[in-house]
Amino acid sequence: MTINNRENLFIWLNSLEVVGILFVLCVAFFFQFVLNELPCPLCLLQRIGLIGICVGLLLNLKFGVRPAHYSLVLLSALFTGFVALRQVALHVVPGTGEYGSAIFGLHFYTWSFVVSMCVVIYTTIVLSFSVQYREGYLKNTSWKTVRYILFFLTLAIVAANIVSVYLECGFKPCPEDPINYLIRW
Amino acid sequence: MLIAFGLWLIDLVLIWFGLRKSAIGLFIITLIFACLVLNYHVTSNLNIDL
Repeated sequence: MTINNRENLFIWLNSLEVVGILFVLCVAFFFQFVLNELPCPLCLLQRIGLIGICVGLLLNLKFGVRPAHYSLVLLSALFTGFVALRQVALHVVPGTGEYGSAIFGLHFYTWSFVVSMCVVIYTTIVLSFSVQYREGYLKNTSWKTVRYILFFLTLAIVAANIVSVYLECGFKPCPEDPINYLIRW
Repeated sequence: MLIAFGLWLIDLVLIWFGLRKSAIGLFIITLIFACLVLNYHVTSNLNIDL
């Protein structure tokens, strides 16, 4: 494998990771708007952490792959993991109830913890490969198209979350166990 | 929550316009703010003062 192909591989991996995180956020929207399962404050904080992972990876795609960008991805993933673990702990004791539907037997907050830990392990391994820190890939115009698409998808997801949170909570603190939207239209 | 998502939106705008250091700075600020929000939600349920 040539050096250029190795560099492209890491850009592809970064792009695929962004797509994966955006897919998780879209699944959350599906459950919110189709199945009417409103997100609790801890769920919203996990969404914030996942968006942080996307933003860190977009820094790689825009400015070039750098260890500093990977460290921001790690920080966001750790934050998401902490919040998810907090929510898992609230419901882990039998009889304490649960929040939301289960997917393949695990609830959203458990999957969120699994995804965030996978991001931590993956990022820790990937950032050790020094070949990806060379410059030059930004001159490849095909990557610009991928970058634009991923950037606008992330922007759309963030904007949709802002509208969703406003409809659910208005300008007040979000309720612990939301049932209905605060603002109806 | 609105503030945190709004900060991410501003961060994406900064990245779009090529302001790398500002984007990273706002990234850190957003994470710190999210930690403060988490702290509020955790301690408000426990009735303790951390």
